[in-house]
Amino acid sequence: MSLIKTEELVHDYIRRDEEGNEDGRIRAVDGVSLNVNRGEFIAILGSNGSGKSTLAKHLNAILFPTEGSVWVDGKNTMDPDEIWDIRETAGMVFQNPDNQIIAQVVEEDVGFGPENMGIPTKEIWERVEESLKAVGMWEYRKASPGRLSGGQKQRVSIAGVIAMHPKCIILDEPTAMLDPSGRREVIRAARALNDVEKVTIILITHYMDEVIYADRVFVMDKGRVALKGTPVEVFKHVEELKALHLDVPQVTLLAYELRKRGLDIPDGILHMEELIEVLEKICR
Amino acid sequence: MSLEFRNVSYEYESAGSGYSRALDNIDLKIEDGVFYGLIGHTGSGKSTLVQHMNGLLHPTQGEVWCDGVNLADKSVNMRLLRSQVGLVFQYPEHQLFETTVFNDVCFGPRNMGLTEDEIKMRAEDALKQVGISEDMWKLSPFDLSGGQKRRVAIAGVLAMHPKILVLDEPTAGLDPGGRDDILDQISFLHEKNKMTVVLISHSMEDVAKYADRIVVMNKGRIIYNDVPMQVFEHVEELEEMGLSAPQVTYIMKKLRDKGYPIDKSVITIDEAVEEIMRMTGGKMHA
Repeated sequence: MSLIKTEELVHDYIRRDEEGNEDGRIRAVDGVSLNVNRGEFIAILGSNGSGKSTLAKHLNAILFPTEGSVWVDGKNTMDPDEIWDIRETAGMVFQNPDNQIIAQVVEEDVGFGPENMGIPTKEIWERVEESLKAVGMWEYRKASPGRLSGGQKQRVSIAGVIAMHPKCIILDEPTAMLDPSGRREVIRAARALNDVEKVTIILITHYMDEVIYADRVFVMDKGRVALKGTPVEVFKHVEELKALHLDVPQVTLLAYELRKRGLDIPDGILHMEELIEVLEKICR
Repeated sequence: MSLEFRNVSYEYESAGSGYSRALDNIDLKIEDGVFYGLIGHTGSGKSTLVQHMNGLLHPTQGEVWCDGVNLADKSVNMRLLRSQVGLVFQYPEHQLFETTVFNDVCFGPRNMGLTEDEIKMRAEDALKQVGISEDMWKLSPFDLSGGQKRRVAIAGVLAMHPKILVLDEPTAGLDPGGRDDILDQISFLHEKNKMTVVLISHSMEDVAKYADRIVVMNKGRIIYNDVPMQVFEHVEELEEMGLSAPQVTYIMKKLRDKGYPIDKSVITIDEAVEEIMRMTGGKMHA
C-alpha cells in the first residue's frame, strides 16, 4: 500500500532581484514520479546537485511542487490544512548531528517533538523511553548531548523523530560526518526500526555499502530518476554508476573486476559471503 | 621540512569537570614527502593533533619541533609557519568569504606579502590544480556547488605553496566521484611536488588507497604508525577503537582463514584482484 507518491514532480529554485522579480531559475527536480509503499526501506543515490535533498524536502512538505504533486499518506502537500499532519507523518533527520539537538539533556531533547504536538506528559515519557530504547540510547537518557559521539548524537536525533510516531523517516545523509562505528550504529538503528517497528525508511546517502539493505534504490541524475530497482539490479550497472559520479560497494566492484578478468562470477554480488562462496566453488 | 612531536600532551579545561586530556604523550615524526593517513574515531584527538602542526595550539606538556625550532619559541614567525603548513579544516567552504572565487584564493598569498604578479600567478595555478576552470573565477563562491566550493577552499591553501598539506576530512559529504577527484588531485600534487600530506579521514578505503603510512589514534594516543598493510592486519583492535578495515581486507581475510593461500594483508581492489587470480589460477593448473 502506497505511503508516499510523487507525480511528475518538478521543483524550480527561483532567484529574484531586489524588486522581487524573477531573475533566473534552476530546475532541481525534473519530472519525478515515484511510489513508496508502507514499510519499505528505500535508498536514494545521486551525485551532489542531482536533486536528492530537494526531492526529500518535498516528502514532508518543507518544499512545495513547482509542477506536479506529492501525496503523503493520501494527503496532498499543497493543501495548507494538511501540512502539519504531513510533517508528523514523515520525520526528517539531517547530516549534521550538532544542528539538530537543542536540549541540555538527551531525554528532554527526545521529548521536545511530542511535547510540541500537545501529547499528555505521561505519554511523552512513554514515547521517550520507547524511542531511546529503539535506537539503543536509553542508558544515555540523562547525558548531556554535547558529551556524546557523532553516532550517538545522530541516534538521539532519530529517537527525537520516532517519538513523534511518524509513519516514515527520511534520513538525508545521516552518516556523512560519522566515523565507521558511528556509521554502523546509525544504519543498524534505521534497519531495526524498519524490521521491528515497520517504519518506512527513506535513506539518502553517498555510502554505497549502506544501500545494500534497501528494498529498492532510486538513482537520481540532473533532477530525474536515472536508475531504479533492487540493490542487485542497480549495482549491476557499474559503469553507468561511475559515469553518474557514484560507485558500487567494494565487494561488488571486486566481483566485477574479477569477471572482467575471466572468472565465472555472476552479476549483482552485494555481500562478502556470496563472493566467498562463489570463489570457493571456482577453486574446488 | 620535518615536524617532530616530542612527548606532547594537551589538556583543556572542560566545563564543570576539570581537565580533559586530548593528547597524551605523543611522539611522532612527520617525514618529508610522505603521504600520511590519520584515522581515529570522533574525539580521538586527530584534529587537536593537527592543530599543533602549525602552532594553532601549543602543547601543555612536551614540544613540537619544526626544522630544528621549537614552535613554542616566541621568535617563531607564525605567519610563515602557517603558509608552510597548510591546514584545510572540515567543511572549509564555510570559510569562503571574498566576492569572487579568484579573490578568495588570493587571500592567503596576499597575506604572505608577495607581489601582485606572484599572487595572481599562484592563484591561477592553484585553481587549475584543483580543476576549477577559468569561467568560474569571476563568480561568487556562493554560486558554486558544494564540491566546487570545497576545491576553491583547498586551492586557497595550495596557493601558499605549503610544504606540508593537512586536510581534515576533505571529502565529507561529497559524492564518490567528487571524492575521488579531490583525492586523486592531492595525490598527484604529492607525487609531483613531493609535498607532505596528512589526510584525516573516516574512510578506511580512502586511506588504504592513498596513504604511504597510517597513524591510528585512540583516546589521545598513537596506537599504530605503520604502512597500511601492517595497520589493517589489526582488524579486531581497529574495530574495538570504533574503526574498521576496507571491505576487501575482510573478504581476503575470510579467504585466508578458510585456508586459501593468501600470504599478506590485502587492502585495495587491485591487489585483491591479483591475489585472487593467482589463487584461482594456481588451483586450475594443479
